[in-house]
Order: sequence, then structure tokens, then C-alpha cells
Amino acid sequence: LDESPERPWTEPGQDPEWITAAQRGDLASLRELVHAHRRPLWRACLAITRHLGEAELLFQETLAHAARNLRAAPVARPVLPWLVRLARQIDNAKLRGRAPRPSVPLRRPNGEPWLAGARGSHWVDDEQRTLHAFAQLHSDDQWLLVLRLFERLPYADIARVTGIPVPRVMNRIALAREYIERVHELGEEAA
Amino acid sequence: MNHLTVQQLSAALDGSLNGPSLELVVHHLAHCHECRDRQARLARHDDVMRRLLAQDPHDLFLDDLERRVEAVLVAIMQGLPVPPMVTSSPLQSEEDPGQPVEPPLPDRPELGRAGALAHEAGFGRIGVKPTASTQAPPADPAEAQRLLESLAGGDARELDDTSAPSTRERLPVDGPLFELPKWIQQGGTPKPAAPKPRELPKVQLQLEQLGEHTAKPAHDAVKGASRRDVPAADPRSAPPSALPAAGSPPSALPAAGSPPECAPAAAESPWPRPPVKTAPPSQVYPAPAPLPAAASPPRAATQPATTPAATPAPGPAAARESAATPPPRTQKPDVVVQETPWRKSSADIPRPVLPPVVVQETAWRKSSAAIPRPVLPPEYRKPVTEAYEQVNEPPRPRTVPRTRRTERFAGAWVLATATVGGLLVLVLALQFLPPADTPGATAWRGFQWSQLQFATGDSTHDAAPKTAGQVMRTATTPVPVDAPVPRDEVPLDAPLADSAGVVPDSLAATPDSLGAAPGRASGEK
Repeated sequence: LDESPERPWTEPGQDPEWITAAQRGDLASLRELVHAHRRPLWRACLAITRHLGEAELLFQETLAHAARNLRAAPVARPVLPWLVRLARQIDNAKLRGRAPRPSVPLRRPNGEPWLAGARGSHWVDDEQRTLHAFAQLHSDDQWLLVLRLFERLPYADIARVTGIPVPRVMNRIALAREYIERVHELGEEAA
Repeated sequence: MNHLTVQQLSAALDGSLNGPSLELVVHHLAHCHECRDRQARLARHDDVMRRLLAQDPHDLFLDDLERRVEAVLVAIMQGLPVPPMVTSSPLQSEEDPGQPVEPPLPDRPELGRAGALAHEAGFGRIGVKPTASTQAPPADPAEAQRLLESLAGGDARELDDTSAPSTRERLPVDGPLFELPKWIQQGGTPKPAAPKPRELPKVQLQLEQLGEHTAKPAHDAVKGASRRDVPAADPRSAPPSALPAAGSPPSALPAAGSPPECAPAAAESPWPRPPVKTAPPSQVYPAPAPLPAAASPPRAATQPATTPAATPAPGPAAARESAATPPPRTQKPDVVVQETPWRKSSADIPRPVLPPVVVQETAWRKSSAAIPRPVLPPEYRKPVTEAYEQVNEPPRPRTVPRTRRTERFAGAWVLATATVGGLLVLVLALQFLPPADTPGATAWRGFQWSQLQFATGDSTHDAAPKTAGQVMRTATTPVPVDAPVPRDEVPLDAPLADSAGVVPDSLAATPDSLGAAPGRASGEK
């Protein structure tokens, strides 16, 4: 039922060596660290912002902030959860005191237009309702769903990454799914 | 029936159930379609979120993004000023809601400026409604006239300027390539060719013996030409002196300087003529030369009727020459009017000898056959509202005349009648042949129709029984109940008699006591 995910979230791998070298000023180690975690970090930035340009900016800001605070990076643990936590904090700080992002942007999160093509308009409507429901969730619930759906982490790994007990992770993910379904049904009834 | 909770469904979707919990969920899902539908909806939302937010970008995109990040990281690690962060796509606050969702299409240089304008207006772009009108723009007659004049003058560059020059040079044309003329490749200008005379078919109007009604159009034309320079005046606003008196005929005299043919036109008009004399004669019409005794053609025959003042009026000899010899091909006027209203009275002007018209005798005229039908107008085309086959079907051939069908039908009728009659005659003829069992009959026996009996006088053929005793009976033949009783038999009602033949009185019965039969007379006893 579930594919075995990669383990950059829970296993440190070569992260302690790269972090240690980068803390000493080794630029190549920092490049290796960025290159190893660029794809999951990009997915996290895109899920947080739900916008292509905003995700690019958040990706650069996160790595720039991490480069400035290398001394605070975990040495014995994986770096990716720490990077994603930085990204979430940066995004929350940017949106503090501002209007929230529109739940459904003008384009798809990957930059493509909202064109249904041969699938019909209900296809686009279904996607926009689901995206709107996902945007209405709390950021912690969004993050749990990202780890579960996008990163395909089991409940135990999600609990380890987020620090939340497994039963609570299961309950919050289930309630988040129920909320999305409910918002989707309301959207269909309104249409 | 207790349905599954969303926690159970969610855990089942994630595959985190095992043991009795998994068995319980699977057993319930096997029997509850509502829970199955709900779980399917949850799975569909998961798929939608994965499709929207979990797409892995291309490696080239990530390489470019990593290259930009490295510049920032190097600046941070080396303590240099951090370069501005650049994104490949606009931020959310920088997006234009009116921006087309599709990327701009490449320019089409072969479409010219019109294609660029249409592209700017939104034509040809998916998802964009054209902002301009879908109707063709109105034509500019002045611009078209200017282009035609420039083209007639040999300068085709004006037409080239209608295409977009910027897109014409920097983008390749995807159409077929061809070699330009040498004068274009050398950058020169085209040399106009030598002017050639116009070669148009000439029309010679031979107006023979113009009558009063035939010359009226010319009168009207001249009348219009004479009145062209005079502003139209309301006859009711004319001075009273110019108005004719009530009941008096209108003035038949033409104004000074007007051609003599204006007189009948003025006479026919119910309204008084406008003051034509106010215009100078040279502008309105040339003063006609005094009519000579023989003829007075006021102008050359080759001169158009609308420009009589351009050339002086030649003499009659010149008119004869011009009428006899056709004008050279280089002359401009193509319409040669050889008869004018002025010549109505000139009967001595020699007419050009025209070639005799030879009317070829057609075959139908020689044989005095049916006159061919005149050329009829084309058939009315049906509107294209029917099927394609019906509209485009070829015209049906004319139906066969009914006379031929009648003749064919009559022939068939005669043939059928003759056949039936022949058969009847044959049947009747076979009746007269002797049967095969008759002595003297031939080997070829005839057909004997049992129902037909003819009184021929031959006793052998008279088989009708005359008496009841002659009827042939067999053992199986039932006795006819209505067979007549033979006369020699004793009737049943005969009185009993003794041996002497005396019937006693007691036994004697009267016919009244027994009852007389209706058909049994007393004589039959």
C-alpha cells in the first residue's frame, strides 16, 4: 500500500559531515548539502506557499538563512527537518501582519494555467475546491498532510519529525481529510 | 449499523492498520457501500493534492535554482553583499490578472501586419476572447486608390509596407522560399515599361435613321450636360417673368448657347427651364455652328459626346474621313459614335459601308423542323438548406413524352388480346374434333370438355339419359329416391281384389278417404 520513502527526514546520512564542514567554512560541503536536499526542500516550499514564484523565493531565503545560522544547525540529526522548519518560520514571518495568500492562485501551483482541456471544467473545479480546502487548514495540519501525502512518511516518522505522538498524528490527519471532504461537499452544493 | 470512523478510513488509506483493526475495517468495507464511497472520496482528494502540490520539478529547473542559491551562499559565506534573489516566475503580488494564461505565440511574419494586429487583439490564443471585432475592418477607399495608383505606376513597395517590417526581417518564413527578382536583390527601383496603347475592344455604334424616340436618350444626355453647371433652382422660386402664363405653352426656344436639341426637351418639360443663359456658353456647351445647307456636323465623329468643346468642329469632309477610316489604335476614345442628333437631317452624309451580315442557314431552318427553343434562363438553384446530394445532384433529364408510353402500352394491350383470343379459338376448335374412343377418330384426339355439350345431331354424343331405366347403376350407386315409379308396376294404393278380381266394398276405398296425391290422377290407376 505504501512505498518506502526516502529517509532524509529521519536518517542523518552524511548531513553531520557536511554540516560540520560547512560550519568550518567549507563551501563545497554546503553545496553538497544543498544538492542532496534540494528536491524535498523544494516540495516543502511549494506546499507551504502554493505558488511557483513564492516557492522559489522561499527556497532561496531558507538556504540563505540557514547559511547565516549554520552554527544552530543540528549536527547529530538530519538537516532536512531543520531546513523545513526554517522555511515555515520564514513564511509565517513574512505573512505576519499581512493579508493571507489567496487560497486559489491565478495559476496552478506549478505555474501552469487552469485549463481543463479534454477533461472538462469539473476537473478544474474539483482541483480548485480541494486546494481551497487545503489552504483553509491550519499550518500544522497542512504540514502533517504534506509529510504524509507528499513525502509518504509513516505515522511514526511523522511523529518523530514533528514531535507529535502517533495517535495524535493519526487523528489530526484524519480530521484534516474530513475537513477537506466537508469543504469540498459544501463547494459542490454551492455550485 | 455503525459505520467506520474517519480515523479508521484514514488509517486504512495510509495502510497503518493491522491485526483485528484491519480485519474489522475490511469486513465492514465489504458490506457497506457508504463507507466505501467515503473512503473513495478521501482517496480522490489525496490524489488531487498530490497532483497539485507534489509534482517534482525538472532537473534543469532545480539546477538553475541551485545556481542562483549558490551565488547567494557564496556571498554569505565570504561576507560579501548578498545579491538580490531572482525568481524565474513572478511573485503572487506581481501577477497580472489580465495577463493571458497562455505563453505568447511566435510571430508569424508571413501574416504581415494584419497577423500582428490580430495576435494583439487576442485572435489565435487559447482561452483569450478577442477584444477586437470579429468583423472585417472597413476598407479605406482613399488608401486603396493610393495603393492602386502606386502599383500602376510600377512601384510595388507600397504594398510591401503593409506587412510588419520588424517581423519580416528577423524571423524566418516557414513557407516556400523563392528567388527575388534581380532588381530587388540589387536594391534598385523597378523601371516602368514603355507606355503601350490600351488594347480594348472597340465598339462602333451605328445608329441608322434615328427617329424621334430613338434619339431621346441622346437628348436627355445633352440636356443633362447642359444643365450640369447650373445649380438646380426651384421653379416655384423663379421670377414671375420666367414663369409661363397660365395656359400658355412653355417656351420652345432654347437658350442662347444651348444645343438645338434642347428645344424639344424644353418643350416637353412641364416646368420652365432654368435660366441657362446665365452661364457662359463656353462652359455649358459650345455654340453650334450654323447648320449648313447640306450638313453641319458640329464636331468630329471620333470625339466623345461628353467633351464637345475640346476640339473645334471640323467640316463634313473630315467627318467623312473619320467615318470611313477607323481611328488608330493609339487613340484614347474607344467608343466611336458615328451618328449624332445633328445628323438627323443630313441625309447626304455617306454612311460607312458595313460588311454584309451573312446569316448561315441552320439545319433546322432548312428542314423546317421544329423551331429550337430559345435560350432559357438558368434554372433556379435551390437554397443550400437541403442535403448535399439533393443540392448538387445533376439536373434530371427530361421525362419521356407521354405519347411514346401510350404507344408502348397499346402494343402490349394488342398482344395480350391476340394471345387470349388465339387460345379461345384453339379451345373451340378442339371441341369439334372426334374423341379418341369414337370409331373413325384420328390419332390426334381433341380436347373434350365434359361440361360443354353441343347438340350436333350425332347420336353417339347424345349421352343424356332419357328414362330412369337407362341410368347405369353400380353396386355402390345409391338408389335415387326421387326416381319416377315405372308405369307397369302396381301402385301401392291399388285396392285389394280377390281371385276373381272383385274388390269387396268394405275394402274398397274411395280416393277421398285415402287422399288423392297431388300428382296422382285417377287415370294413372
